[in-house]
Amino acid sequence: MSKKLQGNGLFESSRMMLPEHREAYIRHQQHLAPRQPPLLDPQAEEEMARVMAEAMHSGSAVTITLFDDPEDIRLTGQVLRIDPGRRRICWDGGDGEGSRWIALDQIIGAVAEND
Amino acid sequence: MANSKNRVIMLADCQSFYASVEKAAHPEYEGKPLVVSGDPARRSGIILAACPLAKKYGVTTAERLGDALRKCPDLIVVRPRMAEYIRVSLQITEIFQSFTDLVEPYSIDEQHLDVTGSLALFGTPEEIARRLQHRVLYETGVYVRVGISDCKVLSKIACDIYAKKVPGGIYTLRREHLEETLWTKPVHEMFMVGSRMTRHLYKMGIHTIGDLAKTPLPRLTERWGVNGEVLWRIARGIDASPVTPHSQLQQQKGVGHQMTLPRDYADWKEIRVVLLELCEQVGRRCREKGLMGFVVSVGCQGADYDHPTGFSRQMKLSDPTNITDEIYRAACLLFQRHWNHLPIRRIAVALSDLSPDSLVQLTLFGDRDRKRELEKATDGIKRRFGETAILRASSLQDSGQAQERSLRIGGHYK
Repeated sequence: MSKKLQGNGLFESSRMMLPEHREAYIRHQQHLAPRQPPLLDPQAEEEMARVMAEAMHSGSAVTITLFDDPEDIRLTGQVLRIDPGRRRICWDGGDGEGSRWIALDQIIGAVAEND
Repeated sequence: MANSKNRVIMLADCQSFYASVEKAAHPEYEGKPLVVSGDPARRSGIILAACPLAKKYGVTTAERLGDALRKCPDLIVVRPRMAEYIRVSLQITEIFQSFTDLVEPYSIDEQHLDVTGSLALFGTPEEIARRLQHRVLYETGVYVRVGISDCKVLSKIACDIYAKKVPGGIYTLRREHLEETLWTKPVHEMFMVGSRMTRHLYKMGIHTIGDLAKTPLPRLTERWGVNGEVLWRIARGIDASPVTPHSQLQQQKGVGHQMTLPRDYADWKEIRVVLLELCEQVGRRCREKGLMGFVVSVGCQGADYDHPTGFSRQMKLSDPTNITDEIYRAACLLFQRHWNHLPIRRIAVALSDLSPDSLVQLTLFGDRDRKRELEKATDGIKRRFGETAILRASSLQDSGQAQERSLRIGGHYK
C-alpha cells in the first residue's frame, strides 16, 4: 500500500514547514524530553574520587559538575568531608552560605582548580 | 463527551498569522488595515498576509502589493520578520502542549491536537477549544479558529469549511451528520482539492463532496491511482493518522537547500557561483548536526513554470562526506552532465543517505584533514560573527546570492 494511505503519511507528505521552523521545533521538543544522566566509566568515577579526596586533604579548590535538567550545574568550592557510607560529600561553595551535602550520584565530573 | 473509542482531534488555525503577529507587536496599528509584504523592489513583492480589516477592502493573500494599494491606499505595509513568526508559532505550540502532549504542527499557522486524554482534566472539547483560543489570544494576540472532530482530516475540514466562517471560531463536525453537513458542500472546498483537480472532478460530474464520497472507488483510482483513493477517503472521513509529536519532522533523511534566483542565469560561470553557495550551506548544516551524506542531488528549473525545463539528478559518492568542496565537485559533475543550457531560475542541492560523522573512513586520496580543519575554522567564524563574516570570493560577484540570502528565511526577510 502507498505511504500516503497509511500511518501519518497523508500529513507527512503534505506538511508545509520552513526548514528553520522545523529545526526550531526539533530543538523545542528536545528541550521537553527529560535529560538522561550520563553513564560513567568506573575509571572516570575513580578519578573523580581521587580528585575530590586530594582536594579535601590539601584544602584546595575544586570544580564539580552536577547533573541537572535542563542543564548541568558547575560549582567551584571546597570538599570538607566525604561520607562514603551514604555516598555524599560535604561541600562549601565559598559563597558564605555555609556547607551542604551533595549526593555523589549527582556528580558527573570533578576537576582540581590549580591556582 | 466522546465515548472512549472515539478520539477527539482538533485543528487550530491562526487567523492572518503574520499580520496578527505584527498587529500585536505594533499596538499603534490597531483598527487600521495592515498587510505583510515581501520587498516590493524584488520579484517577491506580493502580499504574504492581510489582516481581516485589509481583507474587507478586498485585499487578498498572494496578490501584488501594487494591486492591494490600489484597493486600499491607506494600507499599512510591514516587512516580514520570519524568525519572529517561527518564535510565536512555537510559543503557541507550547500553549497547546499545556493541554495535551499530542501536538503536531502542520504548517507555521496550523497545528493538530489530540485531546482525547485531556477531557477528564479540562472539560468538553468545546470548552478546551475556547480555553485554547483565549490563552493564545491573551498571550500572543493571535486569534485561532478550531475545527473539532474524531480524526485529523475531518478536523482540518471542520476548521477550513466551518470554524473559519462561524462566529466564535469553533466548530465540531460530527461523523453521524456528514451526509447533511459536509456532503452538501462544493467539492472545491475540500482539503487537498485544488483548482486543477476541481476542473477534472467537474468533468466527471462530481460537484459536491457527497458526489465524491458516493463515487465508486475504482473510478477514482483508475484515473489518479493513490491520489484518487486519498480524495475518496477524505470525502468519507476515513483517516486513522495519529497526532504525533515524533513525526518524520524529527528524523532527517536529507539536508537540502534551494534558491529562487533574482533573474534567469544562463551562463555556467554564474550558475557555479550559486551552486557553490548552496553546497556550502548544505555542508555547513551537516557539519553542525554531525552528519555526513553519501548521495548528492542537484536540481534546477526554468523561469516559465507553464513550460517546465530543467532536471533533478543524483549520484552516490565513493565516501560519505560533509566537506563543501567534495559536495561541490559532485554537484558540478551532475550539472554539467545533465544541464541543457537553457536559462534557469531555481536551483537546489541536497545531501542524503546520512550517517553520523563521528566515524570517518580514512581515504587514501585528497587532503581531507586539512579541509576539515579549514571548515571548522570558517564555521566557527560564521557562528560567532554572522553568516557573511567570511565568504568565498566568488560570492562577491554579481551573480552571488550569499549576502542577500543571509538576510532571509524561506525567501522572506528574517
